[in-house]
Amino acid sequence: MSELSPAELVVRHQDGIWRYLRLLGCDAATADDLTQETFLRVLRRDNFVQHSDEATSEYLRRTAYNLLVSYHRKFGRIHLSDSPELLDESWQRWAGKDLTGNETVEALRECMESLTERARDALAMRFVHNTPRVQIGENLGISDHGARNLMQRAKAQLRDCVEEKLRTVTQSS
Amino acid sequence: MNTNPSPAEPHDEGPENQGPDSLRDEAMLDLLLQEALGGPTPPDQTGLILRRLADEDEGSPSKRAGSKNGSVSATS
Repeated sequence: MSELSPAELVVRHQDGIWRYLRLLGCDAATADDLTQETFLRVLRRDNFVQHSDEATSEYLRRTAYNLLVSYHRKFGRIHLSDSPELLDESWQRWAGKDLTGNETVEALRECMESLTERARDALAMRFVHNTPRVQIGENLGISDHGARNLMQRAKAQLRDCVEEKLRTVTQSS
Repeated sequence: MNTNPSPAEPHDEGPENQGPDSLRDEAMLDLLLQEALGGPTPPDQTGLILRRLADEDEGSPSKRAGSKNGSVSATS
């Protein structure tokens, strides 16, 4: 394959690396910083070779992972409990199609439209505003058990919908 | 075969492998779901990264100008 320029390389892979770091538990600001460091580390290497898009993505993820491990050790924060190989299985499942996760996020947005407004509200409270489940239940006029069931059903519906969409994309490409 | 050097090894032994597959899967879906619902999304840092790369090439002291936490680049 023809090698990407540094700018093209960053554009191609930065979304994926940022999401990977978020998967590893980084807050958004730390993911921003470590994404920068990951590319700087790799682009500074004179002997870095772009074998393929997939290999470059994997190499960047390993670099990001190792930088985060060092970061945690330096600042005595939580340690990572999963190896990069195990994390890659989930990564491949949800973001491996385009190596960034962009397609999955777009599919999720589309699938969200099939949910009831109530289910969307519950998920937004949970995932965007970090509202406690008891509070979500109160806001929706149901028990916290009811809120949990509502969100579990909504997520199961979204999972099925996204998997179907990604399958369709793969088959048509 | 990838002939690139080992990517930025951490300073100590690697972490232990643990945690069920379903939990990792769930975490990944939750993360993407958070984005789809309007949570934080990946920013375009292309210009910033290239600028920092150029600054480092020139030996400029502004290496960490783009760092939000100001602490990460010291880990290498």
